[in-house]
Amino acid sequence: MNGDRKYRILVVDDEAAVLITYRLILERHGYDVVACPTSRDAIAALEQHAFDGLLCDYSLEEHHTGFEVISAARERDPALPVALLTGYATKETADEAASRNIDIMFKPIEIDEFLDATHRMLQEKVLRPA
Amino acid sequence: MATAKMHFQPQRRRRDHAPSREACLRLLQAERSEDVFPILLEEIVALGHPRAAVLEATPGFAAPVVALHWGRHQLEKLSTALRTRGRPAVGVTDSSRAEGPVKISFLHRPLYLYPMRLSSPSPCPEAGPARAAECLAAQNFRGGKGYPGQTCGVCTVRGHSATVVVELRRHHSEADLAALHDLIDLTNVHLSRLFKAEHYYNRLRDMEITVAQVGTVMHKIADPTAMLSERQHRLLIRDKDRVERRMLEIEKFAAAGRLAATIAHEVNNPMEAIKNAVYLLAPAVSEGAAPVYNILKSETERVARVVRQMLGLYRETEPSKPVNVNTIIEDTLLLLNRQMERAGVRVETELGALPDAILGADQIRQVFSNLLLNARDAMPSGGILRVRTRTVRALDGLRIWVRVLVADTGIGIAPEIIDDIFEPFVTTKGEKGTGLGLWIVKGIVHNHEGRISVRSRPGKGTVFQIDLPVTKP
Repeated sequence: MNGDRKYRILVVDDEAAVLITYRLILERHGYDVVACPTSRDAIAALEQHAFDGLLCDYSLEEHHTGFEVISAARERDPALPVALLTGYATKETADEAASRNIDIMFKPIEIDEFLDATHRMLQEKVLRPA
Repeated sequence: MATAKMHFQPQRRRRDHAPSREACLRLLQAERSEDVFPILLEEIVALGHPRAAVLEATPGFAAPVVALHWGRHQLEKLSTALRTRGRPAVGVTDSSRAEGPVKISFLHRPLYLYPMRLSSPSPCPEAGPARAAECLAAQNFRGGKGYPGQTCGVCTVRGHSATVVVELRRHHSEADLAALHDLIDLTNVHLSRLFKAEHYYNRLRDMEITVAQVGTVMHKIADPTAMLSERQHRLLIRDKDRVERRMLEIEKFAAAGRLAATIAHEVNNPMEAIKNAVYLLAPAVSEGAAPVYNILKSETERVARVVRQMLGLYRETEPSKPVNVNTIIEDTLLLLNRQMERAGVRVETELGALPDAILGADQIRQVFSNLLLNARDAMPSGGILRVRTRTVRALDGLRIWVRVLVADTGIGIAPEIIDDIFEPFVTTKGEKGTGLGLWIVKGIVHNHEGRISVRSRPGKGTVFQIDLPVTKP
């Protein structure tokens, strides 16, 4: 990773107000952010750009879930750091996330914690051997 | 000295003598009901009156709650004056109307008296149109007979009943009285809201705990490999009616709890957006707007905390991870702090240095929450709750356990039932208890490969001892 380039993060959430504020907070802290309100938009964005990290809401439009976006992202980059954002996870969701090595952040998230976790997630990728 | 009485009609007065903006902000910043009175008294004295006090007062009863610049002797005389029939001051408590100036024989200066009641211009949403007349807050607002110490027939919130006593400054004007009235009135509105919010919060907590308990029972029933022990079986047969009645009650609670959870989920997303937006606004806030911004920020954080806690109880499935048991105990005590205070329970902790243990933190939180609430219920007239933690080494010298002692000075458990106390539907609380709390506690402790035991002496108290392994064997 070149230290001069901004990290580019894909953020996905079907609640517009939540999505916009995540984007603004991350941008304020120096990230390059692509924000998508649906799984379809997110998968299209993955076609167009390379990302350093993915933050994805669990429940998306209709019956789509964040796992679909994460699967699509990892097809392109198996080492991509990802985190699932959710207010509530059933046992199945929590188990599936754990088995696929996906972090879960529970909403409401303390903003400092949100920024720390995002930072840590990206650092891990840098440290991970190629 | 003016002796004519003046009556004020709270609901019709316009705020011509509105308290200063600083006074309003200070009062509205009080997050806990117990913080409100001290601030009020300071603001009254800041208006130039020599001294003020708040007395808990119902007809025939008065006792000081908090006072500023009063000597103990005079405060006692004041309490007596407020509870003695035939004294002019008593009328205030009985009538729920502000009065002043009132002359009292042993004081040079006249008093202003304001009876504070749980009060609201409109009935609470729970009452609906059908039960609007029963809503205590609305009754009190209308100046009805709704007096003190009562509990609302609709939502069961307890009404506060305190009389604010102000010794008036020399040469006070009618404007001074009006300003006092408005300040205390504002305080009463805020206090009423706080009481209502605290009441809802406590009820939601109780419901959440019950729902989590029902969940555990359902798991056990749904699990074909789980067998009821002979003792459980015997209890089920013997108490079939009681069990059925109780299951109905539990179902009723569960429905309410599910509703609460749904609301929390619905609130969560807008909450997240508001919290983020408040954060983003920070650099754009001018100096003059900072106090208002700080209220917005701290109140938003408060709602986020409540939502987080409510949702936290539903995360039964979090994976085990290293946690410090002391942190869980401190969190749980913090949450129950007010309930303990209200029940007259003094909490003493002695938390030793502990290594992290691999645990499901929310489950262990439920263990302590159940034990602490049981301890509170075992001490109906107050007492001491002691929580101690330390590490112990197993006999094999290899394994380390976290040991937690929860001890109360309550009524104790009768020897006849102590052997059954961890079985389902065994309770010392009569109709009040579900008989499930300790059963769940034991289940969770065993799931963590831990141990639990109990010692009790009727009339003296009860001690629970829990050992949790630091690493799973």
